[in-house]
Amino acid sequence: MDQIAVVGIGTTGFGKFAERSGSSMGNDALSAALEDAGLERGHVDGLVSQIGSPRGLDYDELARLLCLDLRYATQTWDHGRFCGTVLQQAAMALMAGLADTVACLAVFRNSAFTKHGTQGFPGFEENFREGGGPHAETPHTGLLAPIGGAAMSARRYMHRYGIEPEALAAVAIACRRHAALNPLAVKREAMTMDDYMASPFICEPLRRLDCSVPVDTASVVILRRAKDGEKLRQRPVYMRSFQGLAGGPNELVFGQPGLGIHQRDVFDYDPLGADEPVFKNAGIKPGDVDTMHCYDGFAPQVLWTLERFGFAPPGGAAAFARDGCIELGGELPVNTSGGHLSEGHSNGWGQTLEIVRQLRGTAAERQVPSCRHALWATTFGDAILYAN
Amino acid sequence: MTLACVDFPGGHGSSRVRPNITPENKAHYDALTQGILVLPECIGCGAIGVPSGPCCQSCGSDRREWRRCSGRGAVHSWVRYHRAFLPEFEGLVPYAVITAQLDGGPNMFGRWLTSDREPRIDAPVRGVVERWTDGFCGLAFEDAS
Repeated sequence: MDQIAVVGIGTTGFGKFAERSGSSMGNDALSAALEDAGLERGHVDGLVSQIGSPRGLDYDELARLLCLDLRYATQTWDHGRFCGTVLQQAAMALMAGLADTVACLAVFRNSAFTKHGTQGFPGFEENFREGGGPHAETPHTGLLAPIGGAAMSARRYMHRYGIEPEALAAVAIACRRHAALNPLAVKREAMTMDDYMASPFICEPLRRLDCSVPVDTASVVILRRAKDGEKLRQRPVYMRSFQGLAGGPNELVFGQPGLGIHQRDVFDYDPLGADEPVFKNAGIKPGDVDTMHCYDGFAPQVLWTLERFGFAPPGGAAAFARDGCIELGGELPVNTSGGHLSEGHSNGWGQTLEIVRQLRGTAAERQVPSCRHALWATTFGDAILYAN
Repeated sequence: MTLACVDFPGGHGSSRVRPNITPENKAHYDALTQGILVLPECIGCGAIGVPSGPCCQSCGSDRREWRRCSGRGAVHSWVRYHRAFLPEFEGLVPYAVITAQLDGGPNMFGRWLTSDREPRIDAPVRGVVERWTDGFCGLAFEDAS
């Protein structure tokens, strides 16, 4: 099987770009990624877009507005959880020979809309899906906005394992310390434990500083099949193994199986950890991972991801975080660009760009020494192992 | 015994709040207007599930019948909103929402109506019907300690 390589990355950065169109943001990210890769626009024959209109752009308008001549195109549901899915889909298209150069393009606009969870936000009608809202929203009960399901899960998790708020604070503070070293991050001012504890509750037990920072952003990651001897402008970063999104009655995107939130059963969670396919298929163990990057819409997701993928036993990620293991210099630096909590909520693209920088050795002050394996992983079960 | 019924105390704005009524959940919401909680019980495996979807979420069987439930249970988890995401809830902030583990049944969400006490995990609760001005009735909970 061909190896799939990341050959170029580009981004607009993260911020409030309310006056900008989605297509111009996407175009800037694409131009930057092509320049990074040493490729021309005409090379791009595949496109996987996250997400569609109105917060992002649909594949057909992207192809037209960005002058792309495509023989493979698709896009994902209008939600943030599909960064890994987009990259996997692009890799599969390459493996199947459906395209030779795939641009994974993500545009997210927030400033142009009302807040998440309010009636004016795109996708509000999803609260009334037959199976309940995408994050357990149930409007007539007052359980509103993505934070509701995350907070409900966090309360149960903290009760089940005796976890104190200081563990959530440790996550938020670690991400902020990393962001302070990242010129692209939107939240770079120092955060102390006192700052965290003084942060107002939005939905108890979660505080404002447990929440990611909404931004406007566009990113592009260009994938190709790796060929021996091919001259590339950048050191290639290989996608070594994959696993897809998990689904099922016991899965909630902002939780952990067994917590029994918007789910069927309550049970003691026994995660696969080191037996997850992403490790087994690559022949490595969690301990071989040099840096982990995860979807941190809310701080507890970092703890849940660490446990799901075997870096700590159930309930044990709190001590792992409090001991500084997730910070640069620690045992497993996590979200070294600041993550959604401090770099800005890019739905995983900021983390993916950072993974590439870490494996190229270009992460500057944030560089993890001798970085060989970097893992993208989420509370929703998908993962990609990258290596250089 | 029927569940107590109270009027939703929040505002009555223009937001969409009520769920879609489908053939799979209509009996549940219709019964709540009479103060009765019914949930689908699987004839195959005996699991009592949530009122959505065409089949049992434990075994996949579509052979189910409506079972009257007490509405009693215990607090499984809870949250407290300090921000109103819809204007209907503005006057209620801060308000709590619980996940109730129903006796013999599933976990269900509901607003917490006991204003002088915060929910405690594992404490007993009883179901209450909360009626909106448009007649829609949903499940809520109060302390039963």
